[in-house]
Amino acid sequence: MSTRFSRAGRWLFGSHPQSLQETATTVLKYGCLAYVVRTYGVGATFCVGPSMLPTFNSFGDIVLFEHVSAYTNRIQAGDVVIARSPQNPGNLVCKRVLGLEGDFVKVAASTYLGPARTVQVPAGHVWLQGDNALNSTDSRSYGPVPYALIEGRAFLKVWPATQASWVKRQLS
Amino acid sequence: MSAAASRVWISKLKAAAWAVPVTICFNDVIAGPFLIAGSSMQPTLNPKSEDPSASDDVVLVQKWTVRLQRYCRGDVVVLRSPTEPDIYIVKRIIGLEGDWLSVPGQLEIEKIPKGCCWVEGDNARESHDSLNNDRFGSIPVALVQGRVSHVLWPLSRIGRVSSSVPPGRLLAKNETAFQHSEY
Repeated sequence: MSTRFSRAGRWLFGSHPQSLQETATTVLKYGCLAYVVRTYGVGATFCVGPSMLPTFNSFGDIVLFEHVSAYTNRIQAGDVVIARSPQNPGNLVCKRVLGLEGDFVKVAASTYLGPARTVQVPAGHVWLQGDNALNSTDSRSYGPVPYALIEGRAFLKVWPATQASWVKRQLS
Repeated sequence: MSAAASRVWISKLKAAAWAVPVTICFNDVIAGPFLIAGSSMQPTLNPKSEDPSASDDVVLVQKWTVRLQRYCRGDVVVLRSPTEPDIYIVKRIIGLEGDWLSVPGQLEIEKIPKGCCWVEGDNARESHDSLNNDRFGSIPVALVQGRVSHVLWPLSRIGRVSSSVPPGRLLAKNETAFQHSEY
């Protein structure tokens, strides 16, 4: 075992020999703490897919997101959010909020998604759309999304390091 | 207080503080209690009682089944309201994605879209659900937070919450709903 690993192990588990039960308790404790921070505080995720080009690359970007604005109802139009997919409960989608409840959203005409129209977002819902309108499955196809599905707001792109930047709130 | 005594107290407090993340984690991932409000699930939950001071039901909500995406028609579930994000509602799942349902009061039958479910309260008059009052229709199944498995309180009705689909509503069942396949 390398020195570095055993040093980390000593920091976590203490220097004296431990029983299996003590080790399991430590793993459980820190696992739970990591879960709580990730679920209610700040987490990191891969953003995969072409729908958020050019804000995020289609593969390999790591984005930090915070959950506080989601559960304190501070999400605003223009924020990039991570939400449970309304089409597949196991997936997360990363899109931009284009309208909150009551807002009117203009949808451009497209071959697949029908003619141009203006939609009013119903109560308790948001309108999500990818920045890459030509290649994004979003509210234009599945309609407004319940606000409750929003998990967090993306605020910092950390990888690739050369493109690291804050994720800005913007409406085109 | 002597230094040694305060050190003992600090280590005790530290040990107690660990209970917080462990409890939250258990409640979110495995199961936790939930207080039922309102009458939308009568007579299954909060049944009418002669005693006006009767307390609301406390139920056990299973979370791990939902995390594994095991949704079953007929189950009572806790979900976040699609129209009011801060509110949790308790309803029964009638149909899942790809099912065809007959809807009382309308001639057309309804197909539930991908990723969605149809929920109704047992007490149609008081319930705001896919069919009654608000009539929000099919809603994303991702709103479901857990499955109501047992009544914990009052002690006189402690026991399992049974799963049942109202007869005659489900016209065609999608056998592959939420099994990671395109129907």
